[in-house]
Amino acid sequence: MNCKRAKLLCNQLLDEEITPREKEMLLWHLKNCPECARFYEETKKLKKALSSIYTPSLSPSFNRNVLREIKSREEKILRPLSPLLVFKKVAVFLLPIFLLLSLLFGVYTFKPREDKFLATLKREHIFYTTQNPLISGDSTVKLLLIAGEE
Amino acid sequence: MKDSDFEESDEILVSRSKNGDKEAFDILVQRYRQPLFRFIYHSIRQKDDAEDITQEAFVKAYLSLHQLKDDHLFKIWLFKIGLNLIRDSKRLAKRRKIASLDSLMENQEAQPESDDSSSEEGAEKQEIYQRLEKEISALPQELREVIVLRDIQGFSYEEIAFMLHCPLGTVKSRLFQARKILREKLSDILGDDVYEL
Repeated sequence: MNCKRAKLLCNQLLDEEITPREKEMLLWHLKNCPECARFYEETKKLKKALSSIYTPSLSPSFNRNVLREIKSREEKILRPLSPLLVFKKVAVFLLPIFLLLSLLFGVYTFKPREDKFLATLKREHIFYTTQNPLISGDSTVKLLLIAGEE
Repeated sequence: MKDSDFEESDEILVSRSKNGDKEAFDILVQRYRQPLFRFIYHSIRQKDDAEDITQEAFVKAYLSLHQLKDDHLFKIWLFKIGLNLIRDSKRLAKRRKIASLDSLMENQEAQPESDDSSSEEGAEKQEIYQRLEKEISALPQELREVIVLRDIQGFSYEEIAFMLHCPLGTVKSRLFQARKILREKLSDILGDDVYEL
């Protein structure tokens, strides 16, 4: 066993997370390697110091505070919603759906009114030709009417 | 609350708590409040915040008890909640970047008042603890979590791996790293005398 492996196993030995075989090999190594033996002792001291490290105490009312907080959260969860809040929640949920449906419906039903467009065009043409007698309007109007029928 | 209630196993107490028995949960709080607080306190080193987080962990645990499938794993599950809360609080603190002078002063006041502080041994012990505290808080978070869970709290490698969601090998190597750093930093205290095996 090399020292690197021995040092790793030192930790496991101190944590009692070592197999009997590994323990046997490690103890043999430690007897013959002063450096690893020193490492083991230092780690042992460190572990001991850590396990007895000071921790302040909790306040005496801790349990009471926990139970009070639990009660208050439970009440919050179970409390019925006010009608205004329900309305707001429903409105926020339904408004985008309504807008989307309106948009889709509007696009689907939109049709350009061709007949109205042609009538307007004809009226404007007649008006224009009467205002300018040099332009013969008959042939142009006929052509437009044929185009409209088609 | 009967005396026999205090001797009930975690499993029975958790099962009773799941049915809304607050007295049973109170016993669980009594049983694990100090260990959980110890873990949280040594992870964040601020007494008031540690107490708040400990309280929040118990409240969260109670409100989500139905999510716990194996009732006998309550302790590990509770510490896992505590661990997540510590991580969240650190993220928040990092964002705020506030170092409270008050809490620093309070922490200094909260140091142990040992009876034998006048003696040489007591003073030496105090110095070791203060140095330890300082060096633990200087460790990277993932190393600190492992060392606090193992050496201060006494969890097994397997339990730590479960809590941290990492392989057993990672726990071993992090623990090795953490102890290595602490040993190097505290070599003047630890290396005073070498015992014979």
